[in-house]
Amino acid sequence: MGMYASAEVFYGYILDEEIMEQFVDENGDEIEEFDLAEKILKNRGVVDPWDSYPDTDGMDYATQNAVNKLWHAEHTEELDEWYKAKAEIDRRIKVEMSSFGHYDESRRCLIVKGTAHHASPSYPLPLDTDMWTDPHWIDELDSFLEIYGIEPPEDGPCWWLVASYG
Amino acid sequence: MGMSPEGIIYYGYYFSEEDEVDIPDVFSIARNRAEAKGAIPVDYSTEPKEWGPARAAWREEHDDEIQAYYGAIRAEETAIGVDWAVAGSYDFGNHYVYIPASRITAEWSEMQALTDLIAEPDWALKLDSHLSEMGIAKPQDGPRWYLTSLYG
Repeated sequence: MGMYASAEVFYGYILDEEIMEQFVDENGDEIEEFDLAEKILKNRGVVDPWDSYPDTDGMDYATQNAVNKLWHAEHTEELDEWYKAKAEIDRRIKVEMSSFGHYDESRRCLIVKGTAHHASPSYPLPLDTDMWTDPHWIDELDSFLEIYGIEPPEDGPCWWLVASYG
Repeated sequence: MGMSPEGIIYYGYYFSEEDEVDIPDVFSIARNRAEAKGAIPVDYSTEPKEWGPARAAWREEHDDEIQAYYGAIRAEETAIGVDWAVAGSYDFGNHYVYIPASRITAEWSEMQALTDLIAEPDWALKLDSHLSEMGIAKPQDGPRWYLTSLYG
């Protein structure tokens, strides 16, 4: 697959290294995959059913498969409730973590869903001239950060132009 | 020199592969106009060929005529009011004509904060006049703001 440069505009925060280092889990390990709905449920004391999934390291494939099937059968209702609760929260989350730059050296950003617009080299993208913002966007962005116990950047969010290669 | 991706916003028109266009050289056009109005080209025949103190001294000695000549060209470029550039890559890119003051860029290590994109009242006329003068058909109905990229 060919590589090319792309351009993107979005509304949100660009998160520097200092802020990214604050995203740690309950064990103090760096968080790499962000699932806000899951974080919210856990903050509410809801138990993640996957926490009880057995350790299958060292088992052969057939045994792993059997353990997996048995566990799913025993936890079907919990899993259904868990994913239903997550989907309900996801529907209401208006922001998401994203990144730009190059996969060897990317920058993280927290953006309002629906505000990201990409342009590839062959197809320039017409842009709305009015960089419109919803006054609630700041609250949505800051709430995400607060759930992880992180102070929002002082400068505040805005529309950004960035470039990526990949 | 290293290559890097660049995000670009501009106000203008873009040309696709299907639009077979002879891309004007705005610098050459401006230079020809400046000389037609009396700007005197700099005589570089006595300039030392190697970079170094002698060449620097020559440039300092001829600074007035250099500034006058290239200043006149820059004035003509400003009067023309548009420029051409390539998006994509320099080897396989598509050209666009744009208003220089409208162009906003961000390389991959930078980020550009954006405010409202507001076109000056005379920008559309400058673009259309230039295309008309060059005998180039407008590729779109009218100019507008575009987001594009360049790897170069």
